[in-house]
Amino acid sequence: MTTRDKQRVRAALAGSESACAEIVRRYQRPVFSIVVRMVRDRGIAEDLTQETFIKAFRALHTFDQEKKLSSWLFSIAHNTTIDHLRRKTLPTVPLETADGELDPLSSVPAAAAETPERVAMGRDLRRVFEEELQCLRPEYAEILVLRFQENLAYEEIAEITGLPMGTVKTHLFRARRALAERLARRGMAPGD
Amino acid sequence: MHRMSRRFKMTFSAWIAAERRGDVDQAERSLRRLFSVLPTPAPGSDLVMATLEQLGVRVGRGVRTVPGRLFKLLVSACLAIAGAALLLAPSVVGPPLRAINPAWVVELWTSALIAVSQRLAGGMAVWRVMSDVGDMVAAALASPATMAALAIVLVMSLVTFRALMELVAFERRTGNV
Repeated sequence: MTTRDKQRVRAALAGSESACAEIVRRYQRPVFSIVVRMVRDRGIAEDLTQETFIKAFRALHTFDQEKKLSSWLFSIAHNTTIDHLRRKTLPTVPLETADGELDPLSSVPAAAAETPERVAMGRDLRRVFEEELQCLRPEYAEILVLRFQENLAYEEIAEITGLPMGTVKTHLFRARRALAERLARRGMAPGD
Repeated sequence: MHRMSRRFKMTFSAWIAAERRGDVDQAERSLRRLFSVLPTPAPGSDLVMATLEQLGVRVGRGVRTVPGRLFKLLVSACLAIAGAALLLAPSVVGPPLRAINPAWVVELWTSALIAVSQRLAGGMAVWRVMSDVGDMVAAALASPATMAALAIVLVMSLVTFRALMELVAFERRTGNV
């Protein structure tokens, strides 16, 4: 944990209100960005983010200050969101074909010449990328965000999600492929 | 914006190409770069305050308003006037102070203890002491100036007490207590 985070935690445990506020301000955005990509609803994501911090502060005395505060908060956010998802059934979109195999990316056509439509598509690409990210299975979206947005190591992701390391790597591989496949289907892959 | 979109597209193409080749390291590098330029979703601006309120943490409050300052000024003034009233009434303070002799106090206390411990009739000595003290107080109170000073002190005390109660109630209403 960074020195500053350690100081904040100690101050918060001592009852410093400003330290509590600093912790929330510092981590609200990363926590929210993970949760919103799992639940796909801003309102629910804000409620779950708030619930995460409330749980964290109530259990702050149990936090091991040798560990990273961010990982601990992400872990609470993960558990809180998973509990919410278990209570609620989200509409899911099948990622696999009927025979259970992902369509090979080699089915995507080769690169074509630049057109005005493709230039406009570049501006839309980020929007579509974000949309498709949120359409993935919640655990896939979460693992992509933890790995590529928060730049966490496999071990940290395993600790946060409670999954074995091998499962984390498998999920990561499948999540990457699923996202690429979804984008290819939307015609966003090179050559579309 | 257009340059950023083009860069995003290029990185995106590199990622797809790496996935096709099965180059995991390049795919992860490209995907990391894509995420670094994606805007991070942000919660509403009131999430921090709402969370802190739920926790019962008050941050950013405690701004003293004019009425709060005025009350404290009044309390300070009342206390100062009460102190000055005491200082301006020497006839109240003087006689008791002059009468008090440390040696006399010790002797009185010892006598009282011995008398009480030996026989109950020793209570007469205590009675005599109380009577002397009463005479001194009565003599002091007989002076109009002393009565006036005492009345002023009493009024100031009541005003101070009332102001303090108002201040506490005000602070409670504004949530500072």
